[in-house]
Amino acid sequence: MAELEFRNLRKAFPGGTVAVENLNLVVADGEFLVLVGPSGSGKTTVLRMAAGLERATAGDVLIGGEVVNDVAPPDRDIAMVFQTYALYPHMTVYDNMAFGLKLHGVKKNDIRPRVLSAAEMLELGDLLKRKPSQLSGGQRQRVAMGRAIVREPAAYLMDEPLSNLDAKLRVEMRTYLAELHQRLRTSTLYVTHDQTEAMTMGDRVAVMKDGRLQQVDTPRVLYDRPANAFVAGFIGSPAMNLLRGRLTGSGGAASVSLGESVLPLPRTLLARRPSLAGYVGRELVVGIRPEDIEDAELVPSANGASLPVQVKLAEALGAEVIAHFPLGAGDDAGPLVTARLSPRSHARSGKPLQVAIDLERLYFFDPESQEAIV
Amino acid sequence: MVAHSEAVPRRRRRSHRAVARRFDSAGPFTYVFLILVVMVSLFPLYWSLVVASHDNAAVYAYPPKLLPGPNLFHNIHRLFNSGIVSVDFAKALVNSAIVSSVVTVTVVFFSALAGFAFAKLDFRGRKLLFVLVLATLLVPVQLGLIPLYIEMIHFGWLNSLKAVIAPNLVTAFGVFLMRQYIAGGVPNELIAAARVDGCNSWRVFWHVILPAVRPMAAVLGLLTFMNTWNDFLWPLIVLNARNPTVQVAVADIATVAYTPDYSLILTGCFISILPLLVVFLLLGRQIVGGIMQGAVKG
Ligand SMILES: Nc1ncnc2c1ncn2[C@@H]1O[C@H](COP(=O)(O)OP(=O)(O)OP(=O)(O)O)[C@@H](O)[C@H]1O
Ligand SMILES: [Mg+2]
Repeated sequence: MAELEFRNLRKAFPGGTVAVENLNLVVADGEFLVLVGPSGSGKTTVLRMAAGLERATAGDVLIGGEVVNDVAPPDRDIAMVFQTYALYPHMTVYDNMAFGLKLHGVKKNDIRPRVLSAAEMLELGDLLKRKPSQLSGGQRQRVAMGRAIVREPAAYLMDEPLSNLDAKLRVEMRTYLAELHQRLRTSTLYVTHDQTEAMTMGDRVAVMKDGRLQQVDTPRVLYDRPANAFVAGFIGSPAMNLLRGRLTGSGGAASVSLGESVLPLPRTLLARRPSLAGYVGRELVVGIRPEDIEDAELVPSANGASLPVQVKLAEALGAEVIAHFPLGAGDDAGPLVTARLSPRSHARSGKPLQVAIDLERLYFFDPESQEAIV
Repeated sequence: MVAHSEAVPRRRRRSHRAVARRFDSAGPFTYVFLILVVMVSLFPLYWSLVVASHDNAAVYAYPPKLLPGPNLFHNIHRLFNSGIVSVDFAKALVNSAIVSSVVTVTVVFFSALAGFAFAKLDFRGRKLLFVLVLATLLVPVQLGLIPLYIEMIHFGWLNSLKAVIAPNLVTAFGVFLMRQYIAGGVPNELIAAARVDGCNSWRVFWHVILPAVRPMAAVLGLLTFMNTWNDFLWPLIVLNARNPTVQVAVADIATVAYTPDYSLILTGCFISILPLLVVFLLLGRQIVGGIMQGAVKG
């Protein structure tokens, strides 16, 4: 078990693509850190540098406090789950999982129980004699996972290890991984595209974009206090609505106009975000989480204004109704806003609706720098 | 009405079959052509069997003999009896087997090793070295004969099998073939996974590359074994009749007597071909597709 650290890490590929730029990140000893970001943001590259498969253009990788830039992958004592599985096609499932143990000098008598128990947990017990070509995509992915978890290394690197599993299996594997981590407390750097995985599994979540780390913090903080508009839009599902608006006001009162709608801002909010005062009379980006919009009928004491909107599309998902509508009226009503309404809402596609916005929970971002206004 | 509606699908089905036939099943012309090709290729082999199973006079007989005769075992007996033939034919067979097997194994092994390095390892001068290796393909073999011969004299290897084996331990062609196959056929991620699992480069080669190149190794092995087994010029130069390979031995039988004994020569030829057939059968099975299937996603 060890801490994994990146210091001023940079990776430029020949040809000029800068995949990672000045990354400073610590996966504390025993921590489960989730790395998220859009496709091509450099997540896999970070993992590959941690594993020693890719040489950093600049900066250091540290494992257990020691710089390992010149340590070859086999000597780094890490295990990795590859995004593409990378199974040995000529070996059986059992041998795929046992191979790393053999090479690390684990005794034959110890290999068997370790492989069997991992296979059991991953529901691979019946497939041990098969070759990878005889497995489904999800089964292969579980073998790739099994190959890593039997190792009990200093750190785990996992590149979207559950992406190819069906919903039910994914939930099971998530629980299993969480339990495993509770038990072993092995530092883990875990890449995922899945919001739920990011929010539920990570002690902390790191958000990357274009090779740059945007923010790293607990899931709660990331959700409540995103550092910039990108993180705000990336964390949470459905994504936060980001709208251009103008702040107006005088004295102690202020309101924000979004197209034709004007939302008065509560004083408590203004008190919490003193920098907002500097934006009076200027444009800014307003963020509204879909879950902070509700059918006004269901919010008797709306502390926010109630707005009339024309619902374009309402998707009843059972536990919730996802509604899309422009905030304004008329043909040029502005961009669509997504709202996550209670299932009791009467929102129907093509019908008018009164919505209440929880104005206490509005987010504001600088239109140029995209940084959060606090 | 009913009859009509039944007839339509049937006709449609038949026309489907007609289309399929045109594109992927062989017509009579294909068969005739292929049979002709097989007959033309097999005829020399068959003819050597015919001559080998008669006495020497049969070669000159008119009309020519077209069916095998009764003398095959008699001729084989003469061939292996060094009281009658000037060379030790059994020894020649063993020599050829040794030379060809050793060369085949080393060519496949070293070609795969070098191919792996050129395809997947990062080192300075990789491209230049590969071009140099390829450039040796441009130099005709004949040009190297004299320098090589002088080298063998210096090593004191003349008349020893070492002189036949050593210059053939690895071939540029083999390296090229293997490099191309490994570059395209073995996913980088698979090698990365092996490294993370604890493999150094050597173990990556042993545990990942070698199993992966099996089909290409069989192809290269076949070609190499055949070439080495059939090689005549170089063994003729560095070996003598007391320690020959099969080809040298057959040539010796052909030249030693004033009138060549064709039935004996062709018996030698016929026998020298049989080991090749065995090797073909053994290695041919290894040439299979889809060896990397299941390794990586998509
Ligand atoms: N070997 C390479 N040579 C050149 N560019 C590369 C190489 N590998 C990755 N890149 C580039 O580096 C950037 C980051 O790639 P990376 O694979 O790390 O993204 P990712 O965040 O893992 O994306 P995804 O979610 O799609 O897996 C991309 O722009 C990619 O095109
Ligand atoms: Mg990736």
